[in-house]
Amino acid sequence: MSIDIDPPFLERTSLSLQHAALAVLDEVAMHPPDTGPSYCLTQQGLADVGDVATALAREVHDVADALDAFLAFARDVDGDVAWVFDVLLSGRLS
Amino acid sequence: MTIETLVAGDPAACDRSARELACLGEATDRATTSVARRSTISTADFGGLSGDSFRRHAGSLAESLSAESGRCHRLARAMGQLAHDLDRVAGLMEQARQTARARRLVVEGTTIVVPGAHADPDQHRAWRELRAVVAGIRELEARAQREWVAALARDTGTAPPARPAQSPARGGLPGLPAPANPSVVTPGPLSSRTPSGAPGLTGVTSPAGPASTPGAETVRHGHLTPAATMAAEPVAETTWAAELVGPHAEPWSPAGTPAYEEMLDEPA
Repeated sequence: MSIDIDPPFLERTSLSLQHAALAVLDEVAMHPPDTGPSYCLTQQGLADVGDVATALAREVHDVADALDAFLAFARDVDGDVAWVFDVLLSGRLS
Repeated sequence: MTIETLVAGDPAACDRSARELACLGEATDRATTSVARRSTISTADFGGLSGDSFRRHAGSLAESLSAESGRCHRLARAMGQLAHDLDRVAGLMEQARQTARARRLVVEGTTIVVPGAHADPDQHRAWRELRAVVAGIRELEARAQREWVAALARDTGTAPPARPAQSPARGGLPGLPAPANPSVVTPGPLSSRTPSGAPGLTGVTSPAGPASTPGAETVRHGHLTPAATMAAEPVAETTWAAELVGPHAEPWSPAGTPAYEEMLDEPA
């Protein structure tokens, strides 16, 4: 049993996701501003924004990694992914 | 007694932070577009259970990224507004200090010193006017902080701890809005809050009630004390005080400000 995949297209997809994730991670580091009496709340709020953005970017990166892993198996079977690998790897992509 | 005109906070740093937030928002926007486009790849390009899992996960990630991007942009706008407001407040405080110097008041750093006993009436009058004007500027500052804290609370869930508000007129930093706390006892005469028959507290009489009690108001106005006479004098408007009227400020007058109310309460 085999499933349809387009390895070059999925490679480009993985690269594109990695770039998007890195672009977000590049912008996450923010200088804490002196906002006066709201300083502590501001630090807390900005830390929350940074944490969520980092977590999302890492998740995008993880999906790209999972796609790479999937493609590594796909290359071995020349574009056809055996059903058992599909079942095993779908868990990593979900 | 002095008038403190120091403004806490760095408008330039806030502006830089607003730009950083906007950049993060743009990067997240691009990630959203990228992930959303991949969430609709066809089954011909990526079939099977893995393809379905990928599409589902990418779709959900795109939604989260989109929400995060919106949050970054909203906070960037709010932070930019705070930077603008703090800059404006600092400029108005600088004008207040310049006015104080022009009207022969002593300014030490950011503090306008109260005229001494030998100062002439014009200096006393200038000091009283500036005190009310600075209180008005403090209100703008407090409003700017409240708006920023509200934006933070909306988008990050951070909320200030409950604490008693400080009076800006007394030189303290503007108090942040304290969340309603039903457990806080409403201030009032001590006797009314003392359980009847409590040992050691029986017979404690409260001092005169707060100045806002109707009785105190009547007595104060009935006496025509020097403070009341002083308060009855119209406070001359300065030309630059008109700048207090802006997109975020209603037409402003010293009457009704905490400093003005305090001026009513204090002896001359």
